[in-house]
Amino acid sequence: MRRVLLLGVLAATVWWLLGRRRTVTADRATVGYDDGSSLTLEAGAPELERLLRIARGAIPEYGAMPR
Amino acid sequence: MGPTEALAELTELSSQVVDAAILGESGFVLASTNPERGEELARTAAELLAAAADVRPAGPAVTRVEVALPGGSVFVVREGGRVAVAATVPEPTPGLVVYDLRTALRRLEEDAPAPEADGRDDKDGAKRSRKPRTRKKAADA
Repeated sequence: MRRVLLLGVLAATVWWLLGRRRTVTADRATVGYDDGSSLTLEAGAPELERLLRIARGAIPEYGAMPR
Repeated sequence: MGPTEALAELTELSSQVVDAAILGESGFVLASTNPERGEELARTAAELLAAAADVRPAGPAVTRVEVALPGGSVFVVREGGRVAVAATVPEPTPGLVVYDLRTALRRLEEDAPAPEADGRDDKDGAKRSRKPRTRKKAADA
């Protein structure tokens, strides 16, 4: 029983780490400006969701996502 | 070089680009790697540029938008009045994709009459040639 629990905790930890990495490496936007400056929007930025929603329409994996 | 040739070169050089399009000044599609998705990419580019402009309403003009999603990324680059837009594989190399899109746009300018031929943005004012993507392996010693 203890071994099963240990295995479960281990699997959950790996799952969490992989999910976290995926979150870190995705869902962000960078805007570059004429003067050479740029701005990166990460999770929590209010303008990010609008950009993500628009971009989903152009990525085949998401198919016809609502715009 | 025409838009179609520039896009062909882009897709040949960049394995990370899935679909791409080059748009004219008013947003019409000059060329697209996938004719069925050209208009869709044009609409996406216009909407992304508009949304990005709202991020800093009083800021300078937006010249680049990159949006990364788990399923892929979308890049929009605006230069010389034209726009290049590309959908890529997940986790691409952003600098490389932006470079490739800018190169495609500059290839178009090479053929266009250029009153500011010597006033390029490049620091050294020279036309850049594409370097090979892959490093050559050093000869076995």
